[in-house]
Order: sequence, then C-alpha cells, then structure tokens
Amino acid sequence: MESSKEQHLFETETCLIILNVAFDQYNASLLNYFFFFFLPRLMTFILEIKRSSGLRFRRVLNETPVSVLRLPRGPEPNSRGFDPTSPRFIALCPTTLPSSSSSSGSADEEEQRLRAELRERFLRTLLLMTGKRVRFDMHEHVRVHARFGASDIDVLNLQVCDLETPLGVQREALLRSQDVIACSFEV
Amino acid sequence: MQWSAGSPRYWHEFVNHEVCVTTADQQRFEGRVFTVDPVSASVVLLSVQESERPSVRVILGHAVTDVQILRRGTEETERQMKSVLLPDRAQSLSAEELKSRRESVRLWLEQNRVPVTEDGEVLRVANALTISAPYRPGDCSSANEIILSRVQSLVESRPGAEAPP
Repeated sequence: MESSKEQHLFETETCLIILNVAFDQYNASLLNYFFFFFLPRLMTFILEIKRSSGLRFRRVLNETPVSVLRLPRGPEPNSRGFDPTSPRFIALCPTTLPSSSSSSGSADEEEQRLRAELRERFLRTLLLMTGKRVRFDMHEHVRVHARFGASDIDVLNLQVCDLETPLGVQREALLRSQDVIACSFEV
Repeated sequence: MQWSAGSPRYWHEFVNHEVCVTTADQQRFEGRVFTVDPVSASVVLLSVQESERPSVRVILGHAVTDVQILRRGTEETERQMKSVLLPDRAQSLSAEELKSRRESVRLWLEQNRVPVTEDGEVLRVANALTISAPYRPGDCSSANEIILSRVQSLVESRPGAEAPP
C-alpha cells in the first residue's frame, strides 16, 4: 500500500541522516570513512534517484502469522436468517418484482426458471472457488490474496483463510462484500 | 444502480457472450459471461485467452456500472465454458451406455429390495425419489432426506461402477 511504502522510505532516510550526522563527529580512518561517509551518501543519492524516477519497491510478503484478534459478529439470534430488509428478501418479495404487475402465470414461471438457472451456475462457481487461492481486488487498488472459504446466502460477507496483509498472515478473516470489487482465481 | 436493478431476463441476455465490464473505480474487465447472480447481481467472467490457464473473475454487483457486449458467443463457446466450469455435466454417454447403466442400477436396487420402476429415462424409487441420467449418486433427487441418503449410499456401493472421470 502506498502509505507503508512512503513510511518505509521516510524511515530509511531518517536513519541515513542520523548516520551522516554521526560521521561528522567521528574520527576518520579509512574503514570508517567508507562506512560512515561514503555509504550513507551513496544510499541517500540512490534513494533520491529512485524517488524522483518513481520506481516502485517490490513488496516483501510478511509471513508472520497473526492470531485471531476479534471474532466476527454471528448471525442474528431471533430471525433464523429471514431478514425482511435483506436484498434477497426484497428481490423475491412479490410486491417489488417489476414483472408482477403485468405478468401472467407462465411469464412468472419463465422468470423463476431463469433465476434458478443463473443462481445454480453462480453457486457452482462458488463451489469451484472454495479452497483455492483467490486474489481480491478492493477499493483504492488494494489487492490481497487469501484462501476462499465460503460466502453467506446474500453474498454480503466472504469468509477466507490465510489472508495476506502487510501486518502479517491472518489465519481467519471475514471480508465485507461492499469492500471487495472483484475476486479472481485460476481453475 | 441500474445493473443491480435488472431482471433475470435482462441478465440472461448477456450469458455466453464476451463482454467488457466497467466498475465504479473506472477499471475494465473483459471475459465471457458464465452467469449473473440474481441475488447480488455479481457477474462471473471466464477469461478467453487460450495461452494461459483459464481464470475466473467474479465482479460483485454493487461495483458494476456498465456492461458492453464485445462479441457474441456460439454453441461451441458455451460447450467449452461448461466443460471448464461444470465438469460433471460435460460428460455425455451414448444411448446404449445409458441404457446398460440404467439396467445395472435398477437390478442392483432390486437385489437390495428397493421398489424401483423405470419411467423413460429416469428411475423412480417408491414414488419418492428420482434418479436421472447418468445414474450416479449425485443424480438422485428426492424430498425425503432419509430415503435420499439410503439410496445414495446404495448407488455408490454398486459393484462394477466405473470411477468418475
């Protein structure tokens, strides 16, 4: 992510400035000359070039496992999954179906058949996705990799394992689908 | 948004065609539409490049702003997509193989004292369960869980059954 890269640059530069200042107060011998004078100046020079030319640093994967910090919120205890405000219910509720006003029985059946076919294909795609390493594209060009576990019925949350973040590898995580734009994987 | 408010009929128009999906943050994704989820309006695209391994991309419905058809698909592309993403269905046996398999499943069930009748292409068990072609354990359908699990395990343990591809 941009901010961590900037931070990394800033920290490196701070160290180099300190080294540069340290030299000035130190007695010079040849080895000291190399380490404390030449090298920091060279590194500062290189960093300036890199920053001005806009080269991107390769992101190093942080593989330290991070333990579960906070359990996700469970399902509603009193609704048994039938939430009248969920998009699924609103979609299926007859008064809001756009075709309900003008349709005959057969048109409804046709629509339902198409709906079932599309949904079945989608569920099979999700089945294919489980256990595979999936790349999630999120807002602000954030990309993370994780092992896909499951999604809920309305595709509002995605459960993943081994989510790779700059903080470390999160063993279990729940991604909100409003945060995710796309997920891709290889068959 | 407009895409999420579409009807299944509208979304079905796009299936099997190559499209370019534009998302809310101006990104573009291209691929062949496998399906559009009616619950979340998410588009499932299959990559069409021959050179690499096929990759699937699921674009969530809330992020889709526009979908444009680039190229229309054909029966051949539909078949190809199905063979990649629906590997169970792609298998097609000839009529004789189906018939012989149906016979062997029916005999096995009768040996195990299960009342089964043949009804054209499908086998019906006690009016409560149906086994359709190609008569694998996954092809049993019933409203009764107990009967389903019993018959499924029977079909699975049928001697001489070929290993699935």
